[in-house]
Amino acid sequence: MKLCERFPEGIWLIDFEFHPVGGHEGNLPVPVCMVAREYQSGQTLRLWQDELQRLSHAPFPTGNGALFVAFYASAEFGCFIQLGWPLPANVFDLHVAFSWITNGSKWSGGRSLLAALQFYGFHSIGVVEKEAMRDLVMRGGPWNADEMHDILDYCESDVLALSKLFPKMVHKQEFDRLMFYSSYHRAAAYIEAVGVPIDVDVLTDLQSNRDSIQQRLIEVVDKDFGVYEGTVFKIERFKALCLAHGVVWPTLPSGEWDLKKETFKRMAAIYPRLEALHQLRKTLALLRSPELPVGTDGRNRVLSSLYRTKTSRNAPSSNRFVFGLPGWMRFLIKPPVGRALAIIDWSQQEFGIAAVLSKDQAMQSAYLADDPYMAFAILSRLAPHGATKSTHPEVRKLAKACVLGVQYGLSAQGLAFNIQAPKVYGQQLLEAHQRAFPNFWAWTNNVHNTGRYKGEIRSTFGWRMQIHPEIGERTIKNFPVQTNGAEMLRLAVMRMLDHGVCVIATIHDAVAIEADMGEIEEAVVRAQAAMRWASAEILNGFELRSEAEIVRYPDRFIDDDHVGMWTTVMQLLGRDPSGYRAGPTPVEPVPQADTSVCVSRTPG
Amino acid sequence: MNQRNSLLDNSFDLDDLRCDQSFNATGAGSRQILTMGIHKAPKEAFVRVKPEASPLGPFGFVQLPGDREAWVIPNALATHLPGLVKPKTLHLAVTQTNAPFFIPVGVPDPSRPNRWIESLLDAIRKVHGAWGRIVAIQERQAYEVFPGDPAIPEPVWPTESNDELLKLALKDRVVTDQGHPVFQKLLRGI
Repeated sequence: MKLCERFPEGIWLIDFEFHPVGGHEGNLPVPVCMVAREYQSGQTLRLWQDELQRLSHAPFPTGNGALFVAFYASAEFGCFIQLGWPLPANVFDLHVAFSWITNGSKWSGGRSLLAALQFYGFHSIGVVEKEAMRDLVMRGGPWNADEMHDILDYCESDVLALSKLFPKMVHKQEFDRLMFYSSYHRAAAYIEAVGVPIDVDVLTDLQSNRDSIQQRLIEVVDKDFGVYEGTVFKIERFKALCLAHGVVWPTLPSGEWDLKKETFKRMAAIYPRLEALHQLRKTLALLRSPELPVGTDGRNRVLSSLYRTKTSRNAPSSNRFVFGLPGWMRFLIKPPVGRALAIIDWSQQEFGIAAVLSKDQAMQSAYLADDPYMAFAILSRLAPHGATKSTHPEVRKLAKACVLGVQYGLSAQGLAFNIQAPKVYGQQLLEAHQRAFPNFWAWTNNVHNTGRYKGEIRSTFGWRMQIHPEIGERTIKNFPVQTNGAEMLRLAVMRMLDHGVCVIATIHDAVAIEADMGEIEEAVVRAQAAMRWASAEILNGFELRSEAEIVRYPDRFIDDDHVGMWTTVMQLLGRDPSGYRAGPTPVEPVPQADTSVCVSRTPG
Repeated sequence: MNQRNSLLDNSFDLDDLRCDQSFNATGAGSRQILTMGIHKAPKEAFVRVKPEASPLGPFGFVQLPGDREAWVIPNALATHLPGLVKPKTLHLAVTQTNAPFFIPVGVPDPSRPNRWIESLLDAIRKVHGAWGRIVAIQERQAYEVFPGDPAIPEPVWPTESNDELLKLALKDRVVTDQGHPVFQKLLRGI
């Protein structure tokens, strides 16, 4: 069926211009103007903000008979939500399509609208011109008549760009698939609109004292290490520290010490004593970078960066998304008065997915055991029957390192490095894993071979990664587990929203939800049911477990691994570990976001 | 408050979108075996011997001191090495990680009972239907089988024919003529 027959009410290409309320980053968007153009007839609607606000629904069809086309649609839907318009039934997002088309390819020009135009050889306005127009919009009103005209023209130029790109990206056989992936933008818009509640009092204190905090944090934390001179990390001192404590630090091919963020994180996991130093480095880097975007209602709102990774997971900016901040800074997450949050994550999601997709019965049994790591240790005879985490903690640690390492395609050398043992031990552990889960190993080899053979690899619903010779074996082998984890999360989130659960963030294999304090348990039950359902959809009926952690006002999000750093910073700010200043507990203001966008449907 | 369309119960039939996740593409997923060993079952490995496959051979085998793998020698050359050539049959086996190999087993001689050979044949029969480690017990001059966990998944057998596997196994392991270094070494030993 032709698209025009499938969508008799038109294919509408849409773009909004908007800025955050009051020009304050983190606030909800204020629609400035919108241009809509029907693809076939060329009928064009140009509406300024006062005209938009008078409408109770979009000025073009949004039902089942029409198709909505945009580039990164969740931004447009953010405007829909603010205008109180129902979201369109059918969405085709050109950013999703472009990501799908170029994923894994050698295209290195990025995934922006300008990049897509360049990819297809279309002329576009220059980056400088685009930036200037964006600045004009972001400046906020009032705008004079010429400026309004310019902004509308600029908005229309983006819509015309959509009309050039749309026919290039409509892959007939993949249309439904891309529309399915596009539809998640509606869910993302709801999540982005609510945002994550932040303890603004503490955050403000932290931001206004950043210079003194930086200096004092170094003094407090570095007194155990002695690697800083002023605010400068001295590599020679760090080398001496490692030498004195027998820490074997990885080096780069050049022979220089590898001080990358990821390496520090990995080494801190091996040498827990270094964790404080790792957190300090991460914190200092953050204190020097732009601020967390928090709206005047106390909500952290960021673009979810949907489908950003090869496996289609979201990748919001780690500096701007509160869940991406150093562990101790996540303590800033705090429900407002009368509200509660829950973080719900799948237990051993990646292990479970691998067990089911590989049809490895032993691995599935291990997943269903209370402790999959111990189950592996027993199965591979690293520990006797009946062994538990408390009776054999060291063996469990090895088993865990092996199970997690294998999921990421770690070599014997890499595994040995992680367990700080000679390579032969890494090899033995890998062999134990191969003996315990042979079908998994056969499947993962099939994944690699088939991927190379076909030149592409797909998730359950068809998220695709092209495979050119430079794509590494580990990336290919890890793809099905990661991408199906991402599929699972998206399905679960859409189900949750449909069932009236207020989702405020997604974090790798977890979701954060919010509800009134008296309703949070019920919300968790519904969210976990959605997660079970989503896992069964992806895994042929196999349900993955999930775990929930509930935080009620006045408590805050706590990560046990980072209590020390949080307490230190609070002390530097003259606060107790709860985040309150010494003295009587103040009455907190009640900044409330409009979370009603999340609960507008009757629970299903 | 927004009127919301359902996010999921839309027009998508998820089953229509599904892609196979077994990754068994014809010509890609199945492995092609390029090497085959002929050796005893590793004592640390659980193994299975393919029950329905008849043993191959017998072939004449010779072995150099210190060489774990055996050499096959044609009858025409065997006559020059009296007492050194042992007829053996080959039994197709796999380890728990599905690595295939041939176990060589001496041909029993009714006039000269040999506990090693007899117990090895018993052991092979035992690992036809269940995993086991075949271990040589020096004190008893015989093999024993240590059973494997019944939970170990069934083996994946090579898809290649016996002839193909035999060719791979004998590649570079046949003493082809009198000038062959193995033949020369054995001759010098005599």
